[in-house]
Amino acid sequence: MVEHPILWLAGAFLAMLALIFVRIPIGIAMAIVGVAGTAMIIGFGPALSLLAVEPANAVNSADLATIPLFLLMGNLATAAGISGDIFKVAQNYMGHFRGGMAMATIAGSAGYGAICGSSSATTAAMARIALPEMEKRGYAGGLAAATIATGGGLGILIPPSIIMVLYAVLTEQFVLELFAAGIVPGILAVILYQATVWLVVSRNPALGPATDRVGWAGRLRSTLRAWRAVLTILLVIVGIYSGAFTVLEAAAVGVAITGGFWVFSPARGWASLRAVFADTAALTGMMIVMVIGASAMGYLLTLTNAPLEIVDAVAALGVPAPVVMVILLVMYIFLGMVFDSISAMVLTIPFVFPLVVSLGYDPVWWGIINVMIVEIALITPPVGMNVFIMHAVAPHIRIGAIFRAVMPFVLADVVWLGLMLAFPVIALWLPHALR
Amino acid sequence: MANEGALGGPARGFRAGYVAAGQRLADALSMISMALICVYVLLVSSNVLMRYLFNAPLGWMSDMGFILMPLAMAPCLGVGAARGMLVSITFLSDRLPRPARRMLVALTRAVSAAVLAAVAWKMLGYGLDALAERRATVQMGAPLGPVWLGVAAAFALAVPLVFAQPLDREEEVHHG
Amino acid sequence: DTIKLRVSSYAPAGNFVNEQVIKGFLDRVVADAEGTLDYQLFPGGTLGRNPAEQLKLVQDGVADVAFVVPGFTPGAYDRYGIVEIPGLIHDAREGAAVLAAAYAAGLLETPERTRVLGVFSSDMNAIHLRDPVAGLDGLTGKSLRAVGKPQADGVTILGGVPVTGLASTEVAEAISRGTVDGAVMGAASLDAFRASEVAVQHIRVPMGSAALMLPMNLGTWEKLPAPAKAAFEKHGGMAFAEATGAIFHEQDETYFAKITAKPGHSELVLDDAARAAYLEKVAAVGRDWAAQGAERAAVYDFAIKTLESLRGE
Ligand code: NA
Ligand code: NA
Repeated sequence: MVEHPILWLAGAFLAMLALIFVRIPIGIAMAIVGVAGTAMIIGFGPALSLLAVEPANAVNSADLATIPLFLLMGNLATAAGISGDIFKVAQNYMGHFRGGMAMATIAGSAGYGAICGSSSATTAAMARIALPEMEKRGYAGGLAAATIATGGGLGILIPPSIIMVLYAVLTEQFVLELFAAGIVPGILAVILYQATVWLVVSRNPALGPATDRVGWAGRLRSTLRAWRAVLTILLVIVGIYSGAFTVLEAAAVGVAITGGFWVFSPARGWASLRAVFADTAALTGMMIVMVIGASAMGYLLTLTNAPLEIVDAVAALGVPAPVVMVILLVMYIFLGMVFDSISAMVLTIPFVFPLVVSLGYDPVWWGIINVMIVEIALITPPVGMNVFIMHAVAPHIRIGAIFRAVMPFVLADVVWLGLMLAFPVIALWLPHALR
Repeated sequence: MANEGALGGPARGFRAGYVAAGQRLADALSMISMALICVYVLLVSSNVLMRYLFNAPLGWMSDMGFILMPLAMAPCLGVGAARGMLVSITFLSDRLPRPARRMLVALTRAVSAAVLAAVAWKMLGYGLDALAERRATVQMGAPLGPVWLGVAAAFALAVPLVFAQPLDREEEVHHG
Repeated sequence: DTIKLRVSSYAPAGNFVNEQVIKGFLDRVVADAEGTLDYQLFPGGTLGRNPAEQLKLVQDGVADVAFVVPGFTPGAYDRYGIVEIPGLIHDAREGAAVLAAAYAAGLLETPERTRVLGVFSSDMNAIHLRDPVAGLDGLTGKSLRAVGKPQADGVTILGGVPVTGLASTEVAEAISRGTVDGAVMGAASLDAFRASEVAVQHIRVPMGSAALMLPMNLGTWEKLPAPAKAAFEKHGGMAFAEATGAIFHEQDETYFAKITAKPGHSELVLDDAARAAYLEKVAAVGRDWAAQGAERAAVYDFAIKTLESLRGE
């Protein structure tokens, strides 16, 4: 509909970056550029109408509605002490190995990730529980904090995941398929992180000293005590994958049951409830603004035809698809440094997604890759949300030390990306088996 | 760090009162939003029970989703705004001298507020259209116009709340 | 100078609604517009992904033309519900003809700020069951997924229990789990949403259809050059209804044949007497519908007369 679509895209992207770098919130910046660019093509009145239609879609979407529910479920679980139960189990089984407490933190984050849909909530929860335990046993602050910051990423890689929901909404995929696709890659990440901890403490045993072994009686006791977590995970996960619940129903049932646990926990009370509610609402609001902005931007790109032009241009270059993918992933690792979490993904989906699909890659598989891209962004300097959260919880551990200790885990993430690129079946096997 | 005024200076008088009032409003909004979500959670959960125990799903459940969820989601915008949760990239502008940074923060808040105001204004039109067209839910025929007007009102509350963030949130230099 | 229209459709790229219905119509119009007109189709909701917002896109001028289902905004375009009444129209051709004639007679709503290029009918809904029955009496006590009040009333009158609120995507699961015993839906949707794997008996009684519409932004319309307007008038209205009626009817034939031909599937074929009894029973739904307001009554009476003359009764 316009001449030189790629120029339009470049202009829009630059304008967006300019706004973002002067601190305009990312969702707002996308909305401004999206509406202004659309106005240049179809006129101001019609373009402005997007500011009604897209917000209406956002607050009316059954998929997006799962975001506050999954957030609420995770926050209630933490308030009820469920995250502590999970960590205790992992700690009792693996804490006595060299670096075992760090491994337990990864395992605990993964287990908690099966209840909680957000990485910041997972990080914050584990920081309060696992960090004191590790420090008490003489773990180096950097390693301890880095393990928690990295493990926090499992909150979004292991379903339920608000990032998968966001991706599904922005690319019109089935949330359920993404959830199914996330499980095996999530387990792969857990294995890679454990291996990383092992390698790090093998090189420098002082970083994570071995501690006393807990007997089987203690292990079983803690396992039984974690029944609330087991029940919640079973109900939600089995409910979703067996088809007994829709994703929305599973989220609602998850809130109901964790809410019930909260009511019967010592934590219940106004202050706890207010904190849980305010946290959930604020993060949901952030997601809504992101979706509105990305949708407005999506209109502009659709009207300029830029995504198709990019696809054609890349096809004309004759570069093999895997090379294009490697270039994209390298680009994302760099973008992930500058951006803190979901921004790089949200900003680039409108034109990268059509390209990836045109190259013959599976959109669900790409969704899981996108989650990892977000995870990397969460822990890479200079702007890494999970590291900041860690630092906020434990100001005595220097940010630089955390970022340094995080590097081996970033390498593990790169290995993960390589494996996923080489063997997409890691992600796609389960959703296909469940179909 | 104590709350500070949008255009510099320590938080005193009007500015501090404004921030405090804004935070209280945001708290109230999150309460309303989450209360609606809890109602929805109970409805969905009992629908699941009805389906499995009595093989009798409730037909009007999808209607309740179209009424409750927009009203629950919309206030979150204001809560996010008041708590400084609208993600922004600050590491470049953090390097600016403090007065310049303050100016920038005030400016970006004005821009954000303007965009949110435009959204609220357009939603008002959307709600009035829904009212005029007598849009309704599928099963119960419940009118949707008031729902969308409620959404517009919730969006409108987000506008003043942009200026009610505790300033330390925006002013904080994350690293260094 | 050529005017290029932005045309929005939420139907996925490659879907027959885009390829045959929308492109077919617009290609005929463009060919007769003496070079004044062109269009770009944005399929799959690329110009607005919410099916219920397609009309809004046209009214706001984001799209010049869109594929709209009036039933997606319940309450707003009430009289288009005439084709949803079980037993009234017998196939998609009749549905399109009734809608187009009623629209031309000024009996149907015109959305504000639009010019309606054409109205038409979707494919027909039929009854699909998990466990075969010997006759329509067998429907007693069966829970059937239904959409909208007329359909639900039809199920009730046939002795069944209507289950509303199930999305098309949930039907297959609900039938296989036994949450419902069957569904009222079109053969093509039954197949598309994989419900044809679990519902094995098909009863091809007319359970109504859905009204569809192709509106244009009024501002766009007013700016069109005379040859373009003339081309739209020539190919729109009744001509459009006839063309689309044939396409959707063809869809019905193809998909009904496809699902009944599956191994283990069967059709409950009704003899003339049983069919007449069915029509007799569900006629009450139409009378009920028409009893709610003078505007509905006018459309209903008009539809009955139009159908009589169509069928040469
Ligand atoms: Na998770
Ligand atoms: Na980063």
